Amino acid sequence: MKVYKYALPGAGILLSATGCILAFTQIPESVGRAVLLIILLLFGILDMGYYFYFRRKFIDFSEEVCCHAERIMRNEEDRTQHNQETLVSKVVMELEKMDEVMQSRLSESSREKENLQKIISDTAHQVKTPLTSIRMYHDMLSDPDTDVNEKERFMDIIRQQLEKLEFLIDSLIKSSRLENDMIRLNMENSSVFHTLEISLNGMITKAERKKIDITIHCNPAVKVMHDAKWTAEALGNILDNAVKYTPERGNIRIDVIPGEMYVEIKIQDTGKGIAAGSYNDIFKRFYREASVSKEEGLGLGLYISRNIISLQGGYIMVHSVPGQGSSFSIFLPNRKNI
Amino acid sequence: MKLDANNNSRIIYRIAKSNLTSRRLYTFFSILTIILSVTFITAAVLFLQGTMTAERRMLENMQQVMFMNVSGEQMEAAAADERTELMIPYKESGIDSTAGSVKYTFNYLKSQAEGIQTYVPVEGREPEAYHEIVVNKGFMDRIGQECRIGAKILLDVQGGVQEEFVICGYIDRPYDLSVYSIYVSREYADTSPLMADKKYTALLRITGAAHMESSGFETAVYQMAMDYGVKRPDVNINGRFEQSLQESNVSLYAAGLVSLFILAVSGIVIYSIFYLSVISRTQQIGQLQTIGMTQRQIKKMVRREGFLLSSISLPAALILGGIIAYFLQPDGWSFSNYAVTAVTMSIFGVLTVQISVGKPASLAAKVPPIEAARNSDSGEDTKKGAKAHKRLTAFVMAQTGQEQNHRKRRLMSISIASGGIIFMIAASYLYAWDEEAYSREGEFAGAEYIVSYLYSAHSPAAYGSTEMQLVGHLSGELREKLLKIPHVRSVNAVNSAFGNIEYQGASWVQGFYRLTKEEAKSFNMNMDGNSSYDYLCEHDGIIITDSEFISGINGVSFQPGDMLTLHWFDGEEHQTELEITAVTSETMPAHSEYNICMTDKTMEKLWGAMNTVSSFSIAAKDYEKYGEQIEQDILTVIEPYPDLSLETLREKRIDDSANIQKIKIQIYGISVFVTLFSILNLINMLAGNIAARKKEFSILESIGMEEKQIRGMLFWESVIFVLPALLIIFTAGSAAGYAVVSFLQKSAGYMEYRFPLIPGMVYIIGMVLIPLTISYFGLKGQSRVPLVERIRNTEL
Amino acid sequence: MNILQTTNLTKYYGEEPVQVKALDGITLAVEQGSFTAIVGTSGSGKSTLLHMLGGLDTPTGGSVMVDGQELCRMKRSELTIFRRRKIGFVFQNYNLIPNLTVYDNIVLPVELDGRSVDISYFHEITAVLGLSDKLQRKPNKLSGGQQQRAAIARALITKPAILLTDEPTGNLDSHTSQEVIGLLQAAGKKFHQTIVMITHNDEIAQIADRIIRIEDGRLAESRW
Repeated sequence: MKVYKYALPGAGILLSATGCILAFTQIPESVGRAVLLIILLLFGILDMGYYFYFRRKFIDFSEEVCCHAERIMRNEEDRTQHNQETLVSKVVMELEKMDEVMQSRLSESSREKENLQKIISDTAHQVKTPLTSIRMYHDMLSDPDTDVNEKERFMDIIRQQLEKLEFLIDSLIKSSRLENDMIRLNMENSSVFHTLEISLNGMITKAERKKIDITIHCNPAVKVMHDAKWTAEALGNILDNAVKYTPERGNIRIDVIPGEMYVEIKIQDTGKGIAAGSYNDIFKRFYREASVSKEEGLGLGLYISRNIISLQGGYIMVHSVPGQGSSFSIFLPNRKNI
Repeated sequence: MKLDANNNSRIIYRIAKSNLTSRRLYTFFSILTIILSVTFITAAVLFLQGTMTAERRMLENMQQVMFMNVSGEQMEAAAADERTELMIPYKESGIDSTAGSVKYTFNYLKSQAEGIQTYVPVEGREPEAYHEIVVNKGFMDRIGQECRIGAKILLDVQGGVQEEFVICGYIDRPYDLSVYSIYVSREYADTSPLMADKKYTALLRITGAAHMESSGFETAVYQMAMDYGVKRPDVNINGRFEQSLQESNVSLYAAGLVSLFILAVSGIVIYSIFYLSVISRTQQIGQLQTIGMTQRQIKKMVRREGFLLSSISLPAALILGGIIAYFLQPDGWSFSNYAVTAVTMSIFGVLTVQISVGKPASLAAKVPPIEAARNSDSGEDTKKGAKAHKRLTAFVMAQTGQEQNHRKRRLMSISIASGGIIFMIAASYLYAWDEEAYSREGEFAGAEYIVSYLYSAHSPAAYGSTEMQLVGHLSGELREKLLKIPHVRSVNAVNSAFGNIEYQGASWVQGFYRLTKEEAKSFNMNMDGNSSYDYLCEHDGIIITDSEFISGINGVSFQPGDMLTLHWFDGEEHQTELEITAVTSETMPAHSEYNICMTDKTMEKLWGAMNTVSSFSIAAKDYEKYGEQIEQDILTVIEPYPDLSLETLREKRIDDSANIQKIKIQIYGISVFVTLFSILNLINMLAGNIAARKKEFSILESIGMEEKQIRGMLFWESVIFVLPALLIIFTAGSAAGYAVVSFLQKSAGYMEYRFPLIPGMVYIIGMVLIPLTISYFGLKGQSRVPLVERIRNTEL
Repeated sequence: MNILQTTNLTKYYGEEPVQVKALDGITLAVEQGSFTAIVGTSGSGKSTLLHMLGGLDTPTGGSVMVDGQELCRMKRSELTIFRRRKIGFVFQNYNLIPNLTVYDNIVLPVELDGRSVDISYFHEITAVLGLSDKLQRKPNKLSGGQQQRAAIARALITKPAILLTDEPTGNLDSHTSQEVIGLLQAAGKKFHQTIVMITHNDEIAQIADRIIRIEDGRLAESRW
């Protein structure tokens, strides 16, 4: 602050000047005058000396900090300034911390690039299977020796495979968009119940076909900040799984529980359950448990759901007893979270 | 502090402050302790300074030297000299008269307020006309007459002759006197038959005397005396003034030593307070270390607590000390003294606190951070080795508890013991005092009445009391009469002959004490020369005691082996030479008013059969009961003899009483303070102990230990550390008390060591009762909070 | 980069034959930025391990390396300052300073370093933890859960590189526990903090990137 910079030397000069004047007027004796003058002069010099000394110290401090900043950029390690009870140590450790956080963000983004690559290769791999199928059956269609019935069957298969391809490309696009944050989430404080309705729409028929009972406990007044469309999609994926893996005449129960920090949407089913060790695995891309390989599905549903919920600042937790059922809890944050 | 140091001091200060405000009781007691000790020291030092200042102020209003037996012309001449700052004329009538039981005497004294304070009439004025007098109101009250300006009063002047006087003014002194002065006018002093042929005494202040050295002052005074023809023995230098010039610092050093001792004891007490406080919050300190408080910061925090305590206690203590010192010695109050003392005491106080806090601070820093994770009260490590199973009575629990913390216990014992020792010293001092013994010092050692020849240095005779001895009123006859007085136990004759000594150019009247063979044997003073009785008899030798006093007055220097010339009178004039065989600067015990001795044989040789009795010492049987009666009887017996006078112990006690009053206050003050100190110390420790173990007690209570049983356990615990303390107090304390009294006895023979039994007993009872009371109230206070909360919450 | 590393870490108490082996040769490494859960039954040595990682206790054998520095080689003052600036500790018994207010307790590590508090971050944390209206109270006026949350806030305020938490949700109901875990995870991601959490609750443990199991002072299987 400029005030401090001028205050000390200024005060010193003022004091010296006042002293000089006083000296001259008060002390007639010339020796006494001379002595006083010398004393005052010394004070003045001391004063200026102090100012320059402390200015130098300031400059040294800033130089030392810049020096360390450059060293950190060069990725050189220097532990001498670590864990000391000094101002320089404090600053240096904070700089290093900042450097780490920056680096991690950088590596995060490079990891994302890697991820993207992986997606592309995964996709290519996944696409290959139906494509091969289509080509094979297309070839067979082109064969004049195939009879009409067979042709019909082949067309059906090709149609199925095309649907599969469509579904795959769709999901891939969704997941990649989510991955790259290209989706603009439309966050609104809207009714959870309404979102649930949307999600249920997609699978209600499948549930009825399997005679699965669905109960919902949700206070219609509960609202939360979320994107209704995407959240409904996420919930829908989970519900889909629930229906898929619950046997006939099973139960699905949905509870909406508002909390201090989060709103919990709990989806419980009486299906085959998930082994505890697989809790983390099920959310991985293209993961399918060995036991469900004959069922339809790409293994992307939960992956997408988790991404959607994460983007909104929430998370999903799972608890399951194999053979009895599973419970998926989706937590959506109440207010603008970290 | 380096420029680059981290700027994290402020939080330490805040935590320290918060530590103190959250433990109210402990803070309160610590502050009280510091206040008490600093107040005491400050008051003591200020009191001493005050005494010196009061003395100085008094000397500023007193004469520095008296020239006795001077004429009016000599007086005026001396007054006109430029060396004289001020001269006040004074003349005594030399005769005491009585009005009923009240003694009075006529004096001429110029009224003066400053310089040499004589008297200033409260109402009225100085006497001018012949029959005008200024009286003491107390005197008028005692003779039952009205004290009014213009009142006429008939007074006995001399030998039954009465004169009428007019009161022109009066003074009012608050205390009784044995002999009241009645001040007359100059005219009366010069022309009345009573006083006309008496000599004047000039009271003088010398210009620039206060800045002279003691020897220089003496020289100047004697020079002046010579200039105006005043004989050396007639020069009376104010001893106190002379002493003040010598500036002895002994008492100041003594005060300094005592203060240091008190500070040391307080240091121990403060150390124990902080030690206990640190031990009881190891968990908090561990917690602070886990979140990043370094050892240095922890030390700083504890030191800050000490500093904060001082900053509150010291100002209060300094103010209190000042107030107490002022009340003890109001005449000696001086603001500059106070300022200097206050600053010095503050520095010492802060230093003491910091030093005492130092060790506990490092102890706190040593606490490892893992303490934070521990939940139990960490005592020190238990002794190794399995103990046989004992029934858990309160006593056993106390014992095992104590073993875990013997360092703590030792500390508490030492700090209590220190306070107790000071208590014992003060109590011994108090008990060694005997008012009567004080007054009896000197001639009243074995008697209550002294009948002697009325000899006054103001109307000197060439051979002292010899003339009156020749008349011989102090005869065997008189002795018989006195013995016949009911309840008189004994009448002892004191023999002393008088003569005129010539030595080294000076000459003076001197009384000789008669030394018998038996008495000589019991002489054991430090003497130069030969003091054996036989040698004295052979060589007609004399022993000079209190040599410095005599040397000073007469300007001589006694050497053993020298001869001096004695002129004496027994009807005829005689002269002889006596040998100075021994010289000592000590005074004779029990007869300190005589200072030169000669053997009875020598006395007989010189004075022959002359009656050398100079006084009768009369002792009474049952003095308390019959004292007054005896006094009256003695007066009646000696009434026919105008040259005899009676001095009584009663009168001396009256004169001494004012002095004693002051000393008594000091003694009681000291005792009260020290008692408070010890009590507070004890309370502090006990209360702190109980507060620190709140959780432990709560847990014990939750498993079924009754409050009564807990109190029992606490009682035995306190016994375990109070007992050794009491032992130390009564051994070391008694020894110390005895040592102090013995040391004081050298200069104050009226003190005698008596073991302070009653204070001792009271102390013991206190040491037992106080822990009981504290544990009772402490536990009651804790039980107000529900048990669950007490167990759950971490200690404060 | 492995920010935490132990090599054959052992901690014994007492002497034979009544020796307690709290830790018996533990070798593990924790990657920077990860969220690790340590599970095990009571008495398995989890707390002891955490104390070792935080430099609060000295091992009987083996070594602990934190951020490339061997803890036993560091001077005591350096270790304390290291803890102050780089580690946030949440204890099982909260360890709040009883005579300071909640506000003072939370900002204590920052003030001990002579820095000023990041007020916006402070308000964020206390708002999420529901402590905003309790800042001027003393710890003995708070419930166990509130004290625990205050302890968590204290651990977060300096944005330390490492968070060592011992049963951070021990006194919280399941609902609040979920929320607090979420907070830890989010904060960790934002500031690239490494989180080590002791818990006996398997459900809570799922949220971690990695679960380490300890039994009788030794590592059991570890899962990714």
